[in-house]
Formats: sequence, C-alpha cells, structure tokens
Amino acid sequence: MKITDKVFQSLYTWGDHPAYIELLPDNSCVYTSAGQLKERINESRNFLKKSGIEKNYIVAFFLGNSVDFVSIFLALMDIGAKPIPMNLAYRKIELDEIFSNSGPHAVITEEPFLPLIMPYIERKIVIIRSNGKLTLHQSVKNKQAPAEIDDSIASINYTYRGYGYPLGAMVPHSQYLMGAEVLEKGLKPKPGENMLAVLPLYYIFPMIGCLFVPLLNQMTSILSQTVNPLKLFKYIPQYKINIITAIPEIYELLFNCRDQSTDLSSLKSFVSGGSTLTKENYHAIKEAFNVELLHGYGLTEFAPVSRNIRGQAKAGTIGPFCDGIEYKISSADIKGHGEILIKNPNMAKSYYRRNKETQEAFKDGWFKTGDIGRMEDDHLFFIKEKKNTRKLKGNMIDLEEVKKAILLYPNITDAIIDFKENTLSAGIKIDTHKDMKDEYIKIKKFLSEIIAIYKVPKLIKRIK
Amino acid sequence: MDKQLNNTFGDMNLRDKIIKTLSSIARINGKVFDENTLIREELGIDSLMTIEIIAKIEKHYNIQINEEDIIDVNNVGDFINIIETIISEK
Repeated sequence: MKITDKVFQSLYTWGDHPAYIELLPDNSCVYTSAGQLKERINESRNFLKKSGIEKNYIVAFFLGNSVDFVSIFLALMDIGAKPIPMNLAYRKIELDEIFSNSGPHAVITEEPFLPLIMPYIERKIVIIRSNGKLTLHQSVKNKQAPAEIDDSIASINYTYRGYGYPLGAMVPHSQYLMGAEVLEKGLKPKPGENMLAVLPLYYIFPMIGCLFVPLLNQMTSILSQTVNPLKLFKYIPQYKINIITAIPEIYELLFNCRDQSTDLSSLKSFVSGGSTLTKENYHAIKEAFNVELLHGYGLTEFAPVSRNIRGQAKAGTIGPFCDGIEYKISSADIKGHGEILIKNPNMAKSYYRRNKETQEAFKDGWFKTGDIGRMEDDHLFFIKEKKNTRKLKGNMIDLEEVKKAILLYPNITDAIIDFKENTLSAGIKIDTHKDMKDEYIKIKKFLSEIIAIYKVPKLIKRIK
Repeated sequence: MDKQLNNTFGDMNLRDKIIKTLSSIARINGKVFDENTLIREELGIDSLMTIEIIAKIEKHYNIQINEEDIIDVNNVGDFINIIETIISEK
C-alpha cells in the first residue's frame, strides 16, 4: 500500500477541524481543511503531469514548510514519481553530488532558489513556486526515459555516512507507514489535537513526525515559519497547541526564554529527536513546561528506530526499540557499548546508484547504523557516532565532506576536522604569509558560499 | 542550558545591552569585540542563536524584529543600528 493511499483514506473521514493552519511571517494565517487539502493534492498532481512529470521520474524539490510542500510531495508520490526532498541549506558541494548521483528529470523550487540551481537544470523540467503559485519555468522537448526504480520506493532522501558525499537512501512507502505507526504508538495522538511543526519537513524526523503522523491521525498541523520563542509562546494558547515536535535545542531555546505569564495549559507532549537531549535538560524542560518529553532516535534509512512512550519516558534515553524492529548491539565492549544494528523489512535497503556504500551499510539484512549505543532496562542510550558524521542542532555534518570543502581554499594543503562539545573546528596547514585573522574570516566566507552554513567550522586554527 | 538572561540591564545604554546579549549567547567576553566584529564569522553566532538574541531584545524593548531584516546583517554595528531604528520607529 502506498503511504498516499492511507493519507487519502484519512482525509476522506476527517472531521470539521482544519488539516493545516499556516502561520505566515506577516502574522496572518491560512486555514486548509481536509477537503481543500485533497483538492490541492489533486491540482498539484494534474499540474505536475501536465508539466511532463511521469511515473519513475526523479524530482528534486526545494520547498520550505507549507501546505504546498505537503501537496506536492504527496502528489509526486501518488503519480509514482520519486521525489528528493532537498535541504534548503545545501550549496554547490552538496548539490554537485546530489544532482550528479540522482540525475533528476525535474526540479521544483521556490523562486529565490532558482539562481542556486541554475547550473543543474539543463534538459530538465523546472517548476517554480512563487507567491503560492506553481508555474512551468522550463519544459523539455524530448521525453526522458524514467528511472528504473521499484514501485515500493516512495522517495530518495539524502543522508551521510562519513564518505564525504551524500547518499540517497531509497525510502519505501512501508517505511513511512511503519514509522508513522510506531511514533503514533508512543505518542498516542487523538484526532482533533493540534501539533506545532517548526522543523523543516525535508528531514525524515519531521517528515514522519510532523507530516505523516498528523495526517494519518487527523490532527491539525500548525506550520510555523519561525522558531522565535516569543511567537511560539503566543501560538500555544492561541491555537491550543497540544504537541510540539522539535529538536532539543529548540526546547532549550523555549526554556531560556520562558515567561511565567504564558498560558501553556493546552500542552501535553514535546516530541524530541535529531540531536542529544541530556538528562539534566530533560528534567529542566519537563518541569518548566509540565509536559511529557518524548525523546527518540532514528535515521534517514529508518525512523524512528526507538522512541520514548507516553507515560513511560526515561530521562537520558532514546526509548525502547520500536515494535517490529530486530536489533543487536554489535561487538559490545565491557560497558555494553557497541554499534546499533537494526533489521526490518520496511527500512531503506540501498543507496541510489551506490553499490559499494550499500554493501558496506547493509549486510545479511542488517543495517549498520554507524552509531554506538547501549541498552539498559529495555531502553536504548545513544553513546556516540561511530561513522565520521556528527549532529549539530539537528543537522548532520560529514566531517570528510567538510575537509574536502576546506581543501578547495587556495593554499590550504591539509586539514583536520574535529567536533567537540558541540563545536565544529578545523586545524589547517596553509601556505601563506598573510595575516591569519583576516584569512580565517575569508575561509569561512568562502566555505559559506559552497557548503551548508552549519558545516562551516566555528573555530579555524593554523597548524604546523 | 542558560539560566534566563537577567533582563535588568541597569543603566546600560542600548549598545551595551546588545553587546551583553550577544556576548552571553555567543559565550564570548563582550570586551573583546566591537562594532566591526562579524557576527557569524567571528562570534560564531548561528541561526538559532540569532533567534534567541532577537527574542531577548524584542522582549526587553517590547518591539518586533523582522527576522528577514537580520539575515543580511554582517557586523555588530549594523545589528545595533537596525535595533536602534526599530526602537525609534516604535
């Protein structure tokens, strides 16, 4: 069954409450009912087909959080195209790799991103979203051959494993279905409840937690364009928010800016994931907001792998493994720390056009997460990454990719990339007599033009 | 996590209050930077930290800052100028 079939089933039996409330930067809001969402998906589907998009066309899309993101993503899956939800922070280094690996047939983009993707759009269908409308910017004369991808695959979602380039995980429909189901078992949402979505929907965690869980459970999603805590504190009572899904750093931001006068009585749960939540912060946030704080863990290849359950959450853990997941803590040391391996028929089983990397990650049906964990009383603890990636405020950083980017700077002959105490740093060998204080700034500016901004090292030091 | 920033800036002027906020969030002594200091490249302030700074200043001065106006701000001096302008137009 396609995930879109389940979504449509849910939309057909929706009540009177909205499917979406979009909160716009000018403080206005737009309500979308389930019926209107169905219409938008249909309109998107018709437009995309008319523009030439077919089954098994690979479509990279650069869209911010909006009902259009949802309708276009679902429409693409319904057509049988293979969408690639693109991280809007990506720049040349990431885009070069993704476009050359995936060879998309089409690109859909917010208008401001058009200059960024100009180098990649030759002989591709290009659709622009501007002021809430889609227009066909570029068509192709000759029909392109579709990709040979199984119908079971819903989308291609790019992630990292420390190779220095992104890998396109082939995410099946069943992954989205199962991911939403297990998250629902932990969260126990009710139809008509209101979820505040602040995370970018192109990541797997919000895609499942903020897009599919609300749609499949007939919850109203409130899409905020900002994480400004003052605005979020206004939204909570105004829209009677029951659940927020965010990374720990956003909950920490709410904590730092909290005001005793805010009415938070509607809040029930904070769903958390994407980076580390310490025990201390867990207790502080839980106490300050009087909510259940449900922290979990997952990867692009399968999410969630584990998650805390309402009424049974434990501080400092990433929860029990989700039902239906076989797991091993491989080669555990004396402390019980070992690599987390998982097995489930619904997980991604390959990376698009990356046989070597696929074989290294998936062996005998098991997926090697590249993360070290340990079990205690049926709850999983995240220890650290084994693979050469790190998480910074929910964003994944491939340390090898950062090194490659730095080495593109003139006269840098070597670089050592490190990540400690949530800070990305680089030691560089550079052939120059220039003033290094100015040079460090130039290096950072250079990097910010070619790589996602969060991958630019905060600290750069010259080494001998 | 930080304890809530003490909103009692005492007799500090606007410039000093903003530098104190930047310093607190960047965890860099305010005495080592000036109005030419680059917010991202030198203070290492990322987008989430920017939001926190905006929220704290909004709360203290009871103003609204458009996040889009701050995206292109490079240095501390430009940031102070924008806040001054918003406060004067209030």
